[in-house]
Amino acid sequence: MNPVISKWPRRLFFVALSVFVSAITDSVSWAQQPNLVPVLIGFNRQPGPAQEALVRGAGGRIKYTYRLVPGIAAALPQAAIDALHRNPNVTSVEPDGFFHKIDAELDNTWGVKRIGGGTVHADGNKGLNVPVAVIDTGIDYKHPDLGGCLGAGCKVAGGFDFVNNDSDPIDDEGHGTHVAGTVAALDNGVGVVGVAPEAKLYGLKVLNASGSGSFSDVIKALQWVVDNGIKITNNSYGSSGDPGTLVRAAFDNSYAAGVLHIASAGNSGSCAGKNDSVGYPAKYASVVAVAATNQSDARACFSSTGSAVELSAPGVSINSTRMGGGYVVYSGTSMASPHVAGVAALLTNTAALPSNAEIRSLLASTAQDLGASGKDSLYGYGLVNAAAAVAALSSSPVTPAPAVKVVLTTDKTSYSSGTDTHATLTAVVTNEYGESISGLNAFVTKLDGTEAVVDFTETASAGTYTGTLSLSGVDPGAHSVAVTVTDTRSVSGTGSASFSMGTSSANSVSVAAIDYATTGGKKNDKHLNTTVQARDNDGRAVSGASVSIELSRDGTRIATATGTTGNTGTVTFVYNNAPSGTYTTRVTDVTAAGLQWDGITPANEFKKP
Amino acid sequence: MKRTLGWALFGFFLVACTVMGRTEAQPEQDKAAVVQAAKKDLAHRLNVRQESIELAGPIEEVTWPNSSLGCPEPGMNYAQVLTPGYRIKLQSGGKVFEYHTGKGVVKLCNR
Repeated sequence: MNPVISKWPRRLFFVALSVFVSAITDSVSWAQQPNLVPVLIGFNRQPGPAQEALVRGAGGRIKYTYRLVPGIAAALPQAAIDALHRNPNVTSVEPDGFFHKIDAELDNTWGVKRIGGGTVHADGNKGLNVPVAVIDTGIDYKHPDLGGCLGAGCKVAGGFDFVNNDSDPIDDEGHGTHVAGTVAALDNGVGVVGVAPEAKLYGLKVLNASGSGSFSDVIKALQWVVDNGIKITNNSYGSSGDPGTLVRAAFDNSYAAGVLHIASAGNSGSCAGKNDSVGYPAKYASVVAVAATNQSDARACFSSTGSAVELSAPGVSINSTRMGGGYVVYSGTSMASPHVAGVAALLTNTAALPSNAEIRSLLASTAQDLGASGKDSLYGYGLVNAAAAVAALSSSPVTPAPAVKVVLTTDKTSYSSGTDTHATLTAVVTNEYGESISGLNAFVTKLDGTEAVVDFTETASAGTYTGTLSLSGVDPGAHSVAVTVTDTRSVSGTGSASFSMGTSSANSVSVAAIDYATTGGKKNDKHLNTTVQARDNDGRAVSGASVSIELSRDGTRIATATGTTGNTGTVTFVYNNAPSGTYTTRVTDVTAAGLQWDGITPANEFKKP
Repeated sequence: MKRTLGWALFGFFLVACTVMGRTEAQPEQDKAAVVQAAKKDLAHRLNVRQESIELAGPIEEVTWPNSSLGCPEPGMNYAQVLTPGYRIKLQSGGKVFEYHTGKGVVKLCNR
């Protein structure tokens, strides 16, 4: 036997054991004592047995008796602390420990600290119960810093999984969990703290396990937001191409209904920062586009640039909650956007009850100007400043003036002469509080400044009106249409939209994508849905196209079907009670007015377990 | 008995150190794993044996701007988070196939 080897592990053991025992003693007798408040007690003389007896006699547990300063660190019942304040030999009783915990969390989340989140929290505003929708890959609500549960009474109060079509928004990728932590991780002395740590989160899963998703699910998520009365959304996703009229209208209409949309500007920037590279939906006027900055308040080279950039926020090396537990550092404008969404939650949690437009205005006016003076295409109005924004709202409560707000959209952004005979106009009308105004009939429509006859009628959705604008005689080129609405108080508001008129150059139609999904049954895996998307050679969705397909399972044809594409250019075929197997689809024909099908079926396959 | 406890504790520290140090060897393991996954995918697509597929160039470390891994599809949106990964070129039957990888995803990206 080697005596050296046997001796050292034994010493190591006792050293470790003593550390372990010490740690246990600390945690039991000090930090975790219920109903005891940790304090630092100052005396008018060096404390000795008499002072220690005073503390113990008051039900306190002593942690340290100092020699360097005349004080004792102890944990006492609140009543004893109050009594100590009245003791003439006690010079001070100050809280201990609590602030160290906050600082530690803030230090772990430099972005929250940088934008003044800690200052607002210290003033007692942590966004209590303000609902924020995180439209993303879902949220790992089992994470301790995100509450550990799902449902009313939990940090993550609800949500929906639009990818798998169920009501469980659990994350399977990790991105949404990280974003959620930046918005609202708990202020619990552990890990990280969010910008609005007492806000409620709603996970709306629109991105799949690979972090990608379709805009059709985004529209559905926005509808969910409106239906559930949520006023703030975070959108840390995007695409470089405009997803189209319906997606834009979904953001515009929900904004008109009082929802504030915060989105990542995109990661397509360059160090030179000269291109217009802001993605969608951030580029829409009804969405706040957020750029990313680093710890030196400089724009990250990857952060997209352009006139749509409205604000900046920390987006480099952001530490936040990790799916499955623990914490992880990510970079991207995905990380910048939730900082702003969190500030919006803090602003919502004020007596002024500001509208989405007022919050947006406050965020801009109180931002710390970066880059060129004023708004610029790199930083927008500058770095979001939670402390300044909340202070501004507190010092000058918002009392909105009577107003009528009109968000006008057209059913298309471009029309073809000869093919399109009319445009459908949709006007969403709200008052100064973002509330829908019903029962209106005073509408004046002007096409390129000249009054046009359009009869608006209210739809089933309160405050939403539609009308038909004739395109007869409208010349090719760019046009604008404006609608002025007057309410019963004689307050008016105008909304406008633009569109182009041209001769379509498209002459062919192709199948852009074939997607699969399952629905029905307890696990939503009973029926197989095959969605075929048709686009013309200008890249526009082709509606009204007749699409014929053959569906095969494990190489054997099992069904044929024909359907017609809708406004989004898609048609979905449902194969009921689909058994397990590998499914493929072959398109056998596409017929669309004035367009020739190119005859190509894109590669596709779906393995149904 | 004491000696046994000492060894047990020493063993615990060794295990702890191994776990904490595991990430350092990760990149090379990642690289080999994603190449294998890409080959497997391509072999399945082309209905050929994996052994017949070769690397067509160096494996390039890339930080993709988002979860599209540099290969966006029309009409889709992507998480706007920087995603480290690799660009891998494989060769089979005289043709070159480009794979992009990142965050556990291996994606054929032939343009």
